[in-house]
Amino acid sequence: MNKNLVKNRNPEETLLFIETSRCTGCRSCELACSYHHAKIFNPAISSIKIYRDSKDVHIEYNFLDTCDLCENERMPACVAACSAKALSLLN
Amino acid sequence: MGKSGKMIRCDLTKNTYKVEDRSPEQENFIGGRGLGDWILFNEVGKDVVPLGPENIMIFGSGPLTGTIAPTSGRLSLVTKNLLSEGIAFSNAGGHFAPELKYAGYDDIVIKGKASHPVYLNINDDNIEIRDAYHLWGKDTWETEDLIKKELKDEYVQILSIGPGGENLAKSACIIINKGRALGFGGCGAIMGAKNLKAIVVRGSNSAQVNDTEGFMNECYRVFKKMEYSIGTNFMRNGGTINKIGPALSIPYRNYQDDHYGQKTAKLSQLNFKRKYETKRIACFNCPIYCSHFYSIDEGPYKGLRAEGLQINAVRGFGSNLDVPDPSFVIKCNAYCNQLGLHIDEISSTLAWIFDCYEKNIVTKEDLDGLSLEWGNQEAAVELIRKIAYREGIGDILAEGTYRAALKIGKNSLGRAITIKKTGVNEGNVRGKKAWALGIITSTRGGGHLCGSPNSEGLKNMTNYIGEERYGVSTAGQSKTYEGKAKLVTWFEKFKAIIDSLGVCYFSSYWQNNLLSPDDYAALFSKVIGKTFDSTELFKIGERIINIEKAFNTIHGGFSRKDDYPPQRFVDEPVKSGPFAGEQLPLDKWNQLLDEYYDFHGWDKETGWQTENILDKLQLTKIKEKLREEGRLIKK
Repeated sequence: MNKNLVKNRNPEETLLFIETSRCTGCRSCELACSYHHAKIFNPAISSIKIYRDSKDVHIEYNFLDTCDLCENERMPACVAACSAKALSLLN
Repeated sequence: MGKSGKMIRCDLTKNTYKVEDRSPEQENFIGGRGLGDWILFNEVGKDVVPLGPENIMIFGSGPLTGTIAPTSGRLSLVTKNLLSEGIAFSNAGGHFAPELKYAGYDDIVIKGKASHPVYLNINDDNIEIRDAYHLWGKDTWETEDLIKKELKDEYVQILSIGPGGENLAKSACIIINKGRALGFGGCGAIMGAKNLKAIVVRGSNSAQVNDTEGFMNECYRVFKKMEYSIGTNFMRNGGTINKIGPALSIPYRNYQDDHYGQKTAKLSQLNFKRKYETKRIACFNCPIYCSHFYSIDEGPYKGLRAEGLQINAVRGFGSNLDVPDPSFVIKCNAYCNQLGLHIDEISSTLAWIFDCYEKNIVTKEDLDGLSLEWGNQEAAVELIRKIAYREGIGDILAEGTYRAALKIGKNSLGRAITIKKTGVNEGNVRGKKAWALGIITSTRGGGHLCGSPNSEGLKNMTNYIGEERYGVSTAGQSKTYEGKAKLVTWFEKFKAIIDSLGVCYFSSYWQNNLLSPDDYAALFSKVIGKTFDSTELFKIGERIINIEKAFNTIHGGFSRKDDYPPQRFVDEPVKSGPFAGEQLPLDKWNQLLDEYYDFHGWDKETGWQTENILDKLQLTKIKEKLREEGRLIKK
């Protein structure tokens, strides 16, 4: 499993993970993130970027500094939108 | 709203483009396939030949494309059909269509013929027609890699043709993201004839929705519904190849039978999954993720890594060529994608030529020394290559099953399983009657993704559910003819709506227990900001089918005689399996067709449209055109 720390919501407590072997590269998380930021559907403003290489189908991803971990929400929008359950929030 | 409302019109002859607003009249057809049909009908005359510069290609997204509505990544293509000379529409997933929306456009209309190979590069407002000398001759996979490298951008979305399209093979298709195909109607060759190698798109705008909050709530609801449906779980476990089991009817040796016996088990999902599947993958914003990625580590195809396939590839290259080897199916599917060939037409041509070889209609000498005994994998792969490059016998086979049979003659036409001059790659046409009717009356010439229902044989499709959903209590019964005409007309309209909305058919009722017409009406209403119910959507669906029908009547010259099954399905019953003894006898078929025309309000004798139905659908332009042609029935 490829776990990666994004950033802390509360120091040392909350981590956002992406398990790339589960990720299907559908980019629902990007849409959900853009909706969270600006109530629009535009992957270009998303704080999470997914890239699926169509040769080997490995998933590359990137979290931008604009990610606020959806502070006022019950769960980050990207985690809620991930139907493959590749994204998770550990607390 | 929900649409950018803009389309790019590119004239390759003049090397120019312009950006246009969609006219309000066009809004009556939703978008995608519906709008494409309308544009094609109005702009392409009867004398236009499919490969000529006057033929147009309309790539279109729908109002839901690019939004967070589930499976919102579908792209439609409408053009004049190279095989049937009627209408061709195709629909593909991947990530191209949403990117087009984000670039600010709903559709791209391509006209003319470039003087040299070019590709169209769209990056928001920057549109350019670039040279593609260096890409000509490359396969679709290389093309995609080279373009990404050239533009120094990994995030562009690309659709392209391979050598098949460049060499004008009539079975050529267009490939998106290396593994998704716009297949029907020889569209790859039409693009090749325009000297257009690829279209590249990248966008940074948003897909707009009128009532965003309401739309989001609807989306939560439908996502939840999908998450807990039988259909989603079924499709996640291998896509449509999950259906393959010993009881399934798949064609055997060019439809000599519709059952593959014990060998079916070798082509089951488990065998694909255990040995070759490395990952589940999805098209844009799709919670179903029916696709998968395969990696072959041993045997003759060692080293192949490619996006997975659906059941059509398994029956086309597996059972119909009598090769019970999953790795061969993966290879053929990937090879066709690479070369830009449509697997349905190709596999139908291969099965037919193997059949002709068995019956000594063609010999080794006619086939450049290839011996086509059933199961000869090497020869099949070599034939695919020859078709793409039009080499030797490949030059004849590249004409498609129907035309190749005409060229070869010697009774080979009787063995060609074609509908409206298009090759057929389908399972169980003789057994399931509505499935058969949908395929045979399909406006694009064959293909179950037009009016064929998937409900026949489903255990949970009880009389009650069939009645409630489709008004047909026999929807779950395969062998009966009763109610099937009504069922097919229901699904024809439904599919037309789905294609026009820009979502995937797999998210709908077509698969077990997924989204209903009311769900789509609710989503569509929020996008356009106006309440729309499913009855109104169905009226648009009916309009779309009628545009296609009229186009076929005028351009393809089709009438009732073209809605009959291939001779083999009439004469030869299924020999084994659960559907043994089933065939499509003409008396029963005539009765079914009569009913089908009645439900459409078309004339039973000719199969043509009547004044009444076109008035009811407010398709005055179409009525006048048909009247001019003398193909309108006064009723």
